[in-house]
Parts: sequence; structure tokens; C-alpha cells
Amino acid sequence: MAYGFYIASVCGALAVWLVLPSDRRKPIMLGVIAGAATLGGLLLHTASLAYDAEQGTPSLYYYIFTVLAVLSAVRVISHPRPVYSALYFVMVVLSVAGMFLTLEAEFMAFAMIIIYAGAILVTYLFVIMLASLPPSAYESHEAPAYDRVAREPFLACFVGFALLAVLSSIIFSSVDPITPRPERDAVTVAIEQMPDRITPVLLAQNAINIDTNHPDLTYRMEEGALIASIGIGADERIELTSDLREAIANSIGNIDRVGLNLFESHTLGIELAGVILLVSMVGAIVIAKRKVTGGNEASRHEGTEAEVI
Amino acid sequence: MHTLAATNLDLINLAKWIPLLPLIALVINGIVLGAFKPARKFAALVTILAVGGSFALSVAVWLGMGSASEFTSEQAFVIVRAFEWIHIGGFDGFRADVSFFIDPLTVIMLLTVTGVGTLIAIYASGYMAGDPGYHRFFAYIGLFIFAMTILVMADNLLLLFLGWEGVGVSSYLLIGYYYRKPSAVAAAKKAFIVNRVGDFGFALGLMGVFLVFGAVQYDRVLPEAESVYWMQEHGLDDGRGIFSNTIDDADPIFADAELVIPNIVEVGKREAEIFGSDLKKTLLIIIPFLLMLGAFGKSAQLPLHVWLPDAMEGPTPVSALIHAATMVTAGVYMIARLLPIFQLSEYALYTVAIVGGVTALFAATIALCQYDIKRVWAYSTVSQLGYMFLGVGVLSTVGGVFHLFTHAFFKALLFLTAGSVMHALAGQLDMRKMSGLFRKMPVTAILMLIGCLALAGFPYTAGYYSKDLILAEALVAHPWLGWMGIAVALITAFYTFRLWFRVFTGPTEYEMSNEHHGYPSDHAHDDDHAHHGPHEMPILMNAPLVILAIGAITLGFLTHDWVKDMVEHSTAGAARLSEPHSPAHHAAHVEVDPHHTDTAHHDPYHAAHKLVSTITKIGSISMILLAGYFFWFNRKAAERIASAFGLIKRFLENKWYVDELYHVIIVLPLRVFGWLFYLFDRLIIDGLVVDGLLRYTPRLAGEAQTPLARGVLQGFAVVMAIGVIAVLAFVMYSVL
Amino acid sequence: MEYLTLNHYLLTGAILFALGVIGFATRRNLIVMFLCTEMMFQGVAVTLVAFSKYHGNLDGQSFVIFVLTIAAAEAALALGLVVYLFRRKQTLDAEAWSAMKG
Repeated sequence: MAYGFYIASVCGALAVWLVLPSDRRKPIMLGVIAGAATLGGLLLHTASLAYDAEQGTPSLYYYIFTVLAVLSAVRVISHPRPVYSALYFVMVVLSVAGMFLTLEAEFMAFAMIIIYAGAILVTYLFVIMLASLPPSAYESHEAPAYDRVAREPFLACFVGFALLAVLSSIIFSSVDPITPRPERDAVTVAIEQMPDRITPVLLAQNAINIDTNHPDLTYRMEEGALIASIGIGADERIELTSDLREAIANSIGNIDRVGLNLFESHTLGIELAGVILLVSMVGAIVIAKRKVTGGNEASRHEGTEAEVI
Repeated sequence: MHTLAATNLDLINLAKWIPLLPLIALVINGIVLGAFKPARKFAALVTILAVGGSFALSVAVWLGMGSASEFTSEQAFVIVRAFEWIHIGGFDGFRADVSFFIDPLTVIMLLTVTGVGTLIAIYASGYMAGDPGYHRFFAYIGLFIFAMTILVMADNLLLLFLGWEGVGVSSYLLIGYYYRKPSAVAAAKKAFIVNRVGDFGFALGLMGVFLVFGAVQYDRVLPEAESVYWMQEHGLDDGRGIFSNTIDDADPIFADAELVIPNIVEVGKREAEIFGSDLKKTLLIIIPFLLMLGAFGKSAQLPLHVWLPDAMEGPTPVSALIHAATMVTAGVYMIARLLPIFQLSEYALYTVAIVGGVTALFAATIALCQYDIKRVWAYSTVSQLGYMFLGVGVLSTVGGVFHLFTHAFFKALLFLTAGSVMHALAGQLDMRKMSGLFRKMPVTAILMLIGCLALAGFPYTAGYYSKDLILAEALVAHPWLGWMGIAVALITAFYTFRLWFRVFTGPTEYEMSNEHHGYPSDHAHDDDHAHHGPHEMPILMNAPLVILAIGAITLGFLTHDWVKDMVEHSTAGAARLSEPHSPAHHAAHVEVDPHHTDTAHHDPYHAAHKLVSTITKIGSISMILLAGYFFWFNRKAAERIASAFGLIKRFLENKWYVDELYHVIIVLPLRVFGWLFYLFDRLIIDGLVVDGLLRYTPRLAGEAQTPLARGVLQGFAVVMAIGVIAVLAFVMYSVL
Repeated sequence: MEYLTLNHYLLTGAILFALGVIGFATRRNLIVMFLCTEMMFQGVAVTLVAFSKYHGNLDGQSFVIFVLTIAAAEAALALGLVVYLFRRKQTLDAEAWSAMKG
């Protein structure tokens, strides 16, 4: 089985090498064919691993997004014009976000689109515009050599695909494919962390009779049933039907859960992330304020710089 | 059981301000006056007010306590809580608070420390006048009084240790006060290092106490130690003993605890298994010796006495306050306070008594042949401290503490008068270079004479009473130590008056020195001493001396009963120990009042006392007369006799060659080791490893890599990726 | 209906990562090089979210947030530097900056 990955890697390396920008003419079509064959082979192989189970994710979207992501990624590294690279990278981000949706990580998907595609990529585009030659340069085939010609493409492809070969061998070396593990019971999570979400659900379903405005209202699980309590001897037992379970689970979304996890298990990490952002902001300002020495056209850019700040 | 009235408790609660006032003085002198030069002349005033305030508060606490016998043994102390300090573990955990243990012993110590401290601060305000470090000196004094009051008031061993180290630091700072004098700096370091040896033992003992008793507070440790002792005496020790750490499941306390903190109980059980009572018994034997080491270090007993004579490099008021009257008695206080623990080890107190007795003799013989006035008093201090240890060691805590109390007065007096002489002669301390100073400074001479009489144990002076108390007890408990003590008493009388007669009688001759305040004088201001010659001290400096002198004469018969009453009703009351919780029993035990003619007590103590008082009365007077003959009327004869015993004289002059012995057995080997390590470091570490391996290995490795580094970012990335691939491939083929 | 395993997502992540490495090594344009590092981040993010799903906890998703933070910080700093370097030498060629040549 491992040999399959090695062949695929060699094939993929050939494909990427062929499509990378170069001064010499290369049979690009051959590269496209080799790439398609590699990707198709890999996906066919993974499809053979897919198994039947009661729980799981529809696979079609996975394949669509993977193909999109990989093709866009190849274009990112092979397109001679940085603007297009950046736009293809937006495509990669969108595909990855789609893949997150298949993984039930809705918040992450949208965060990815908003932050990456929206914020970071726009910054890249700004910088590309600021620091590139005019588009006419590319049309007249006078694009700078550092965009026209890839640097040591053969060695890079070899190394990159050797990495991929090793990684894929490791990924598929486990005997049993790993299947999703269920998350913690939503009702337990709700009782422990967000009890205030339960009451509206219960009221909406007309499942509770005791005074829900009581300040001491608490919930707990007992023998598979939900117990609402407003003090000793004033308990109400609520049988958890599957409808009720689902309603409670739905009342706590992915954002709630990520937020809880983030602020319960990774508080220090959040603080550190904030510090890193602050420091990088300070650093960026310091860099931008710096006077350029040695550049011929330094004075021309001064105005732009002031505006950026 | 006597319950204290609320007003009395209010007075006792004032105790928490006693350490605070000197601390405030330290802050004002050290920081405020340090920054604000013109106000520095008020430094002495600040410290005198603070220490005097502490003394007033101590008196208030004493009054609040009422008479000691009312302050019954059942409830022999009041704990004044200041604030929480260290709490580790909840139930049965480690607790050390900043709270103060007020019992009669504490009060005696407080009165001594703050009272003598106030008088000496007043004296020093004149003595130190014109010194460039005036405010620094009084800041240190504040620090010292703060630490010393903490030491005597602490309600747990850890706080005691804090004060213990605090007085060590202030002692170090004050010995090295003239920090431009190399000998002072060396003496300060010596004191500090020798004290470390003792403190090391003390710290270990503290930990041992916590291991055995599970606490460091006096009110938990001492009663338990007494009970253990009582059970040992009555053969009731059933193996489990009183050790509360041995956890019994059936114990209702622990049944409750299990509900609350199950984990602690588990830990406790495991601990009880590990530290079975066998280990605890061993620890009980070792602990007193460890604590003793600390006491010997601080109180300059053999073999850790070497720092005290050198400590006289500090200003004279410091010698009087710290190195004679108060700090050096901390060891005696500690043993008296922890007497129940010391009793648990069979030979501990005997060891204390032997070391005390031997030190007393040893130091007295050295004092016999010294020529430096302050050194004579220093060795005399070591010797008198030996007496105190002898007293505590033979269970005469009353005697030990009483001697501590009286000694503080007459030794401070002696040091301060020596300081006056030194002041008058511009730093001259060599008694061969002075003679017949009585005519020049009669007040000083008379004051020192009073001190000398008390030290020599002249009948009915303070030293006579306290010394007798110790010697009588010693004679009964360990006769050989008692006789040794009597011999020391005679030697003491002789060397004391040898000094006094040499300095103050005979033809008036003197040789000025050229020092002023510890620094060689090189400017005209100091020459007035040389012009005017020896002169009497100003009234500001003599007034405190007069008070001390009155104390040195009268304290003996005035306070004898008071001290006895106080000490017996504190935790150091030896009588209580053999039979706990029966205060009525104590009367028969220590009954050596010299005036006591009650014939109902025909016990050995009474006989011993009679013997001792007779011998010392006759002995001290005859020794004084002998000294008078040799050093007043016929100094030639003294020199002839001295030259006849030249070898012994030189041996004593060189202090039994102890410093030289230490040099050979400790300093030299350390130096040799140091050299060996230095060579090892130079040749092997620096030469072979650092300059050889460490210098050339990276260089060679770097040289080998230069062709790979082409300075292009992507090149590095590719190499890094190759490394990652190599690691992953290794993982894949070897692990998976 | 077919279902997926963790391995699928890991493979996608690995491919994105490897392509990022290749791009970083071959492209000479500083901006595109940094785009390629962002692509490696994408591969890692896919892996993390997949692990999060397949382990049944949300730590992976929390880590993606940190990855986003780092990416944003890196973009701000790196692009500032790129602009600075471009104004010094009027070129984006990474090989123009090879002072570390041994």
C-alpha cells in the first residue's frame, strides 16, 4: 500500500514541477494530466477506505472541497503573477471553510472566511499593489525575473513530495481508520455550563411545571432524567424524550461550545494571543514609521507611508 | 485558676506595640534621616524615645500580668495575636503566626532588653556624637531592639528563629560599623559565619520539633513535651506515647476530619507509618543537641566562642548592649524556654551544664592574661554566659535567668565605663599604657568599681546572689561542676580587680591613642583629647551609668524573690516539670534564698547553698585583696610571678591557641581544597573543556556547514524540511 | 452513502502543507512566499479541526483561533517588513537579501 503513495508522490512531484513557472517551455499539459492522475488516484484510494456506519459525514462535499483546495493551492504556487496567487489563495481558504462545515465547525468556517479571506488577504493585496510593478509589465512579458522563474523547482518538488509521501504513509499506517467520537452529552454540558439555556427550551415544550423564576432553580441529572430543583423537597422530574434532548442540544451552538472551551481551558492562551497581537501591532507601527535609507525613490513613498499610518 | 481582669488583658495586649516602636525608629532613622541630612542630629532622640516607649509598654504588660503567682501555672501565658503569617495545610497543618507569647519569663527578658537598651541608647547618644554615621548607628540599634523583642516574645519557634536571625544581622552590621577598618570587617564576617554554624543546627532542630510534635507553637509543643516527660518518668510510655501524629481511626477528631478533608487524614496516616514512633524517639534525643548548637553559637560557648572577643571591634555601646547584656543571652533564654524539650533527652541538659562550666573556666583563665580592657570584659562575658548555661543545665532556670538579668546590668556598666576610659584616651584600650586614672576620672572609676564588685561576686551585690544560686544547684546536681564553678568565681574576682587596680590606681601615667570613633584621626578636631588629656564624661553619659550601677548593687536582694516567682511560673519553671499541673509542689524544689533561714528545709540545696555562700564570700574578698596587693602596691611582684610562669602566661595570652587551632583544622584545609578546585577549574574545566572542546567543536561544525548556507531563505527552509522528513521517516520505520 | 474517516482530512491537510512547502521553497517573490506559509497554516487548521471533531472535544477548534491570531500577527509584521525591504532595493526577490551567506 505504501508503494502506492510513493508512486503518487513521484507523479505529483512531476506534475508540480511541470506547472511551476519557468523560462523554458515545458509540456504543461503533461503536468496537468499527471496532477489529475495523482489526485484522482489518492482520492480513489481514500474512497476505498470509507466505511458504512450509522453516524458520519456526507462525503461528496469533502471530495469537492478537497479537489478545489488542492487545485487552487497548485495555482497559488504556480501562477507567475502575485495578485492571482493571492486570489487563488482566497479560493483555498473558501474550500477549507467548506471543509470545516463538513466537520460541523461552523464558527471556525466563518471565522476563516472573515479573518483570512476578508482581513488578511486584503492586506496582502494592498501590499502586492504597493510593492509590485504595474500590470502592463506582465503583459509585455517583462515581469521581473523573480516572478517569472521558479527557484530550484526540482529540488523543492522532491523535498515537498517526499514530505507528503512520509506524511501520507504515516496517516494511513494505522490499522483501523479513525472514526468520529461523540461529543459530550449536550444535556450534561447544558446543566454544567449553561443552565440558563435549558429553561426556555423546557417552557417552549411545556415540559416544566414548577416556578422557573425562582432564584434557586437548579438542574441535575438523575437516572437518565432531568431534575429541576428549587430547594429541598421541591424537585420536579422531567423525562428526557429524544425531542427534548435534541431541543436542548440545539440550544447550545458551536459558538457557545467553542467559547466555553476557549475561556475555560485556554484562558492563558487567550491572554497570550492578545499580547502577541498587541506586540505585533506595536512592531508594525515601528516598522512603518522607520525612514528608509538607501532607496532611490524613498521620498516618493513617504506620502503613502504617512497615509498608511 | 486565676482569671485575668479585662483591664489587665488590655494592658497585655499592648505587647504587640513593643517590637513596632523600634521598627518605626529604624525606618525613620534609616530612610527619613538617611535622606534628610540636617535632621540627623535627632537620630538618637528617635531611638531613645522608641526604645524607651517599648520599655514603658513592657512595664505596662508586666503590670497587666499582675504578680506572677496570680498568673497561675495552669494558664501561665497569654498569647497576643498580631496577624496571621504562615498557614500551610488546613487541619493539623503547619502554622506560624506573628503572635506573642506573654508569660513571666518573656516579661523579664523584655524588661531587661528594653530597659538596658534605653540606658545604653542614652549613653550612646553622647558617645557617638560627631560620628559621620550617627543616624546609621541608631537605625541599627532600632533594628536590633526590634529583632530582640521579636525573639523573646515569639510564640512559635519559627518567629523565634526570625528574631534570632534578625539579631544576628544587626550584630553583624554593628560589629562592622567602622567598615573602613579591615579588622572590624573581618570580625563582622567571623561573627556571622560562626553564627551560621549554630543557626544551621537550630534550623534542623526546628524542623525536628515540627516532625515530632506536628507544630512549632509553644502552646502546643511545650505542654506535650511536659506530658511526654511525665510519662517517661512514670514509666507510662506505651510506645504510642503522646505523639499526636500517630493517627488513630477511632479518634473522634479524625472521624470528623475524614468528613471534611479526607486527603489530609490519608497523608497523616502515611506519615505516621513512615515516621513510626521509633524514629520520633531518636529525633527526641537529637533535637535538643541541635537546638543547643544554635544556643552555643549565639551565646559564644565552646567551641563556637571565637567570634565574641573579636566582636569588640564594634562601638563600645554595641559591645555593652548586644555582645554583653542582651543578644548573647538569647541562647540561655532559648534553652530556658524550651526546657521541657531538653528534658526529654537524657544527656542534653548535662551536656549544656558541662559545656557551660568548661567554657566558664576556659574563658576566665584567658581573661586573666589579656591586656585589652574590652577583651577582658569580652572573655568575662563568655565566662559568665558559661555560668548561665551551667545554671540552666542543672535545672536551675531561676539561677540562670537571674544571672542573665543581673549580668545585663553590671556587664553593661563595665563595658560602658570601659568605653568612657577609651573615649577619654582617644581609643586607648591597652591597660599596660594606662595607670592611676582615678585622679583624672573619679566618677568613672567608682562606677566601674561597682560593676567590678558585682562581677566579682562581692557579698550582697547583684552578682553574688545570682552566682550563688547557680553554684549551689550545680554542687548538688554535679559536684565536680559545682567546684569548678567556685574556682571560676575566684578567678573572676582576681582578673576583675587586676584590671581595675591597673587602670585606676598606682602612679598616674597614660599614653593617648590616635583614634577617634574607630577611625585614625588625622584632622585637628580630634586633637583636643590629646591636649586636654583624660577627662570626666558629660552628665548625659554618666547618668545612665549611675542607674546601671544602682541596679548592679541593689538588684540582687531587691529582685531575688521577684525573679524566682516569675521564672517558676513561666514555662521554664523547673519545678513544674517533674509533676505537671501541680503548682503547689514547686516550693520545695528550688529553695536557696541566702536570707532564707527556715530550718524546715534541711535538704541538700540548703547545705550546698550555705557552703557556697561562705566560700564565695571569703574567696571573693581575699581574691580582691590579692589583686590589690599585686596590681596596686607591688606590681613588680606580679611581673616576677608572671615571668616565672612564662609558658602558661603566653598560652593564656594567646587564648589557648583556639584561633590558631581553627586556622589549622578548618581554614587551612578549606584553603587547600579551594586551591585544588581552582586548579581543577583552570586546567580541566577552563583549559580542556571550555577552551578545547567547547571552543573548537562548534567552530568545526560551523566550518563544515558553510558550503550549505548560501544565505538564501528558501535554502534554509528546504534543509529544515529535509530534517523534518528524516525525523518522520525514522518514526515511520522504527516505531510504527 | 459513503462516510469519512479522520485520515481523509489529514491527507488533505498534508497535501496543502506540502504544497505550501514547495511554494515557499521555489517562489522568489517575498509576498508569495508568505502566502505559501499561510497555506501551510491552512493545512494545519484542517488537521486541527478534524482532530477536534474526531476526538469529540473542542480543543482543536480553540487552537485554530490561536493559529488565526498568529497568522494575523505574522501578516501584519511580515508585510510591513516586505514593504520596507521593497523600498530599500526596489525588488521583492528573496535572493537580494542574502547577507547570511556563509
